[in-house]
Amino acid sequence: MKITVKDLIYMRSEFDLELTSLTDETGFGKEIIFADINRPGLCLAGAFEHFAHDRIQIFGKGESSYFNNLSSDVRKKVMKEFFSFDVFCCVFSHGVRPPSDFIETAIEKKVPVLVSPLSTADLIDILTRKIRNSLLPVVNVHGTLVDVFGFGVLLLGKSGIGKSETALELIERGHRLIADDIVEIKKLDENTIAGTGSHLLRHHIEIRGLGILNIRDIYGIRSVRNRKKIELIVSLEEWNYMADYDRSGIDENFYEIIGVKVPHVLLPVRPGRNIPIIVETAALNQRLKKMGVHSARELDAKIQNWMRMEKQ
Amino acid sequence: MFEKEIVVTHDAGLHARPATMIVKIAMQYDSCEVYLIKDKDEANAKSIMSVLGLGISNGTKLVVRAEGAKESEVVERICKLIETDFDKDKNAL
Repeated sequence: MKITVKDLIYMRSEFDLELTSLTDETGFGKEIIFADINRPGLCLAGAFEHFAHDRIQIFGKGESSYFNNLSSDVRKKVMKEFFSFDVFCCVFSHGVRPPSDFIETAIEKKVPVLVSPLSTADLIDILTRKIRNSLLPVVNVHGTLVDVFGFGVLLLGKSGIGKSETALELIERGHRLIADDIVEIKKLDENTIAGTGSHLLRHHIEIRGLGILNIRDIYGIRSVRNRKKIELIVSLEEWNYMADYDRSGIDENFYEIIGVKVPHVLLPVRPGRNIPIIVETAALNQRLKKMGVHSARELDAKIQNWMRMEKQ
Repeated sequence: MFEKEIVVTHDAGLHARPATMIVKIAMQYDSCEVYLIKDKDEANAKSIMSVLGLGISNGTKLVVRAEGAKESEVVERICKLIETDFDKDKNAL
C-alpha cells in the first residue's frame, strides 16, 4: 500500500503522531519508501558524507538546540548544504519549531516540515511502526474470514457455494465474523498473514434471498472482530466424483498466500453435509495439531505397532 | 479474456441498486468469471458485496473483464448498462 507524507498527518490509527505542518502542501504527495529514519546531527555538524537525505529527518531536542546555537554564518552555510540535497521531509519533536529561515528554505525546496509534541523516542517508534505497517504486502481475496474458537479460518470457494451461509451458521454458534466476500490480507512477517474487511463493508454479509445484513447489529458486538491472523484455509467446492479428497489426513496440505503457507483443507459440499460443523471440527483439529497431537498419525502409529506385535 | 474500460457517469455512483443490476447480469453467465477492476482492486461482479466494496463513485474509471463462455457478451451488456445510466427500459435484465 502506498503511504505519503499527507497520510502521516491525516491517517487515523490508535496512535496519533499529532503532526502539524509548518510548510504548505506542495511536498505532501511524496511517497514514503523507507521505514527507517535519519537523525541529521552529523550533517548539522558539517559531515554530509553518506547523508541519507531520502529518509525522514528527525530533529530531536539535541539537533534543534545545536542548530539554533550555531552562529548565523555557520547556520546559513549548513542550511544551504542541507537543502542542496533532495531532503525528503523534516520532523521536529518536543514541539520545537525551527527558525523561520529554515521553514522558508524548506518551502522553497518543497520539503515538508512537520512538528510534533511527542518525545523523540515515541515519535520514532510510532512513525516507523506506522510506515512499516503500511508498507507490508497486501492482497485482496474473495472469501470469508471467521474466528472459530479463536482460530482464524478463511473460507474460499466460488460465489454461491455457501461461504456466507457457513459463516452465518458459525456466527449463530458463537463464533465471530471478520470479513465477508472481500478479505484484505496483510503479510505481517515471513510466516504470518492476517485479514480484515474492507472499511466500507465491515461486518456486513450478503445472504441470497435476504440481501445485505449487518451482523454486528443483528448478533451484537460479540459476533464480530476487526482483524484476525489466518491459521487455516478451508476451500469449499462442489462434490466432484473424480476428485481425490483427503481420506486419511496423514499428510499436511498448504495453501500459499503472498508467500505464506497456511494449512489447507479441501471440503466437498453436498446436501446432507453440515459444513459449519465440519469447519468447526477442522479448526479444533488444527489447534490440536498445533499442540502436537495428530489424530491421523497417532492412529496410524497404533495400527503399525499392533501389526508388529502380531508378527512376533 | 475480454475486457473493456468505461467511466461511470451515474450521478450517485454504484450504490446498492445499480450494483444489483450488474450482479444480476453477471449471474446469468454461469461458466464465465466476471470482474470489475478499479485501479488495482478487483471485484467479483457476481457478488454484490464485492462490487459495493470497490466504492465506485461518479467519474471512476473502471475495467470490466470476463473470462469464459460468452465473455464479450457479458462485458458489452454490463458496459451498456453503465453507459445508459442503469436505465431499466434500455437494458433487459
